Amino acid sequence: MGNAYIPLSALLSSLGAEVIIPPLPTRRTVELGSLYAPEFVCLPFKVNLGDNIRALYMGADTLAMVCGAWACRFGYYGRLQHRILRDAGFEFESLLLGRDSLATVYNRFRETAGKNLPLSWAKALRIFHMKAKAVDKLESLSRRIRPFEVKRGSTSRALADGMRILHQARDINQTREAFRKARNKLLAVETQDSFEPLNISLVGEIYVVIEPALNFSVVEQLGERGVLVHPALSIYKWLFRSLRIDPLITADEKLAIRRTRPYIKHDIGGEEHQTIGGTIKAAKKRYDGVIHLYPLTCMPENISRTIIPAVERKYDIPVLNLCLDEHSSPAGFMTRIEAFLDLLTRKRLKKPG
Amino acid sequence: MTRVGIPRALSYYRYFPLWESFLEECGIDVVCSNPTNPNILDMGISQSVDDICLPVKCYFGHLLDLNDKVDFILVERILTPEGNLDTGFTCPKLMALLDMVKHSLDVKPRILEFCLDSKKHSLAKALGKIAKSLGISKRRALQAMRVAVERQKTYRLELRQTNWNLAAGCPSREYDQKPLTQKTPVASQKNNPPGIKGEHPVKFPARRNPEQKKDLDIAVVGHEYLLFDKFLNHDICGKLERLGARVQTSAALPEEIIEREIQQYKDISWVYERDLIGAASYFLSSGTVDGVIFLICFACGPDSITMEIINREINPKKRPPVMTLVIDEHTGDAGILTRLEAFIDMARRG
Repeated sequence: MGNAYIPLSALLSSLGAEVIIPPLPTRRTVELGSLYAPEFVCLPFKVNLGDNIRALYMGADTLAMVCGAWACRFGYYGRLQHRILRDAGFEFESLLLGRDSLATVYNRFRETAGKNLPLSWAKALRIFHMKAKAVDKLESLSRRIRPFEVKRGSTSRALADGMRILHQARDINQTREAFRKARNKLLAVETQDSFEPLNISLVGEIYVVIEPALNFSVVEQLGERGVLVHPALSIYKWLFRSLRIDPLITADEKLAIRRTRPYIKHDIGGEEHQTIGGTIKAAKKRYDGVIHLYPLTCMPENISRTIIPAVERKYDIPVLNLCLDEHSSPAGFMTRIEAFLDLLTRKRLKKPG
Repeated sequence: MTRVGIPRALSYYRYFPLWESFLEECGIDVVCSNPTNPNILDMGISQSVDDICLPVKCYFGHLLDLNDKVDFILVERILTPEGNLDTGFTCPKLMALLDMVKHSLDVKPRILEFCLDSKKHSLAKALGKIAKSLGISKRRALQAMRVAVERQKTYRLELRQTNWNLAAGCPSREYDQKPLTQKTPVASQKNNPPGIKGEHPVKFPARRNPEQKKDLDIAVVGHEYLLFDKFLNHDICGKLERLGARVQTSAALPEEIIEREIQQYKDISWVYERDLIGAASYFLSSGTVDGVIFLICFACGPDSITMEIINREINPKKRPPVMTLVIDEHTGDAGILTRLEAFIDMARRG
């Protein structure tokens, strides 16, 4: 999912495991996943399944997944995907975080982690946190630079180089150094700031908001069209919010939930609080608009989608709702977004003062 | 007199006897929306998100059907239904149904909220809130609650004992004035449950030989709001009966059987899906039926996962033929009939 592989592989390789990173999801991944997946399960399931298949072809022997018994289908991914893959003939070990106790996960790395298991875990978690934070900061910086770049694509290239350096860092010191280098690469990108960019918030189901292969690199596309993008979700938030170690994230989540309560009274298991809370936040910050992305049949997002028009009216903020599945095409997607940007630009021009 | 409207969709098929008894005991007029018809479905579809499931679209249509006819509309929010396993929750769409209705539909009557969270309170307490909103005196409300809970219990028991013949239609008193146990049409059943005699009240057009012997037992597994709504499911049970099958449904299985079966399948958070998995497990492994049909809706979130769990994790030694019927608003009657005919032929051959 996006650049989550950088901190996650750092965690696992610090524990001595050989990490296999499947290639970025492509049409082929989606096709493979759709072949084996149930017909109308959500898109993240299909892509995830496709990723797992590719990882297995590349030699992985263990597949890890978070799982749980929640309202959203996500908790069932691990159990069902592993079942589907075994029925299809693949052999591997399952590491289901949630179903398997923490002790199982902890002990899984006993052979590979070296003599002192607790120390290895402590080191691994430290570098995990550091890399996750670094990824978040670099992505955030790139989003602030991209609308102003002179050469189209220079920011994305600098970001990709930076991520590569970060991924290669093996310990705390190297990570610190890598972050510094990556940041400098981004700051070196040539910019001109002779215009006032549009501000657009990106909300919706977490996988399609974060994974560029699913949202057709919407963050880059918007940036290259001179838009400052503000995603309501990020990998860092997703990885660390349940641990509650960052008070800013906890406060942000609480605020989003409080703002959503008048609209959705109970937690329904998805990111609906960030969708509705994010829309309200965008309105309060006087952004120009919101783009809402969600996979076909996503339950929490369907509910949010039904309620968003009421939020739009009350807070006076335009929202573009886009539904994605394996048949979506980049051309259709970008056409709708470009039309939306045109409308927002005209709205701005008409504003007095 | 105050009129309360109840949309004939979703939890209507589960809780209507409870609601109707309670409100009538409190002296309130109960009005149901019309049975599902193309108009209602179209209204619902036009007011909802494209990819939400069909039963919710149908619900919106029924709700709008009541818009000008009543003073209050009863809308449910079912978080955890009552039962022995008071854990888990229902589908997110049922949990947030009230929110969707409040914020996206132009509802003219006042909304009465029936919020059922069995983790926190009982069925009777859920009714208490409604009584308060309607200004019913506490004494009258308590008496009404007692009657209503009893009626609900009776309904669930009768559902199992009579193996509800779905050709009769919806499970409400207002469908016709006879009490529940006498409503089951019996001419089509070979072995009538004790105490029931009579002729089929509705004449169905004969497709095949009207004297066709009933020589097959087919189980239909699905949510109650799909099983009982003849328009939504294209009268699948009626069609099966005319093709010579005795129909059993997952809605009519005793809770003890379902609980026994569900022990083998852990960690299912959705309560209604547990019922489906338990029923499927029973029908597939008990050897009492000649075929099993799963009736699901396209875009049903939990069902997409449950179907896979049923198909992959339930592995009895001898499985009867199984068919999955996925329906949505574009499904055609002819298509359903073709599939059913093919399935019955296959089941006949054993």
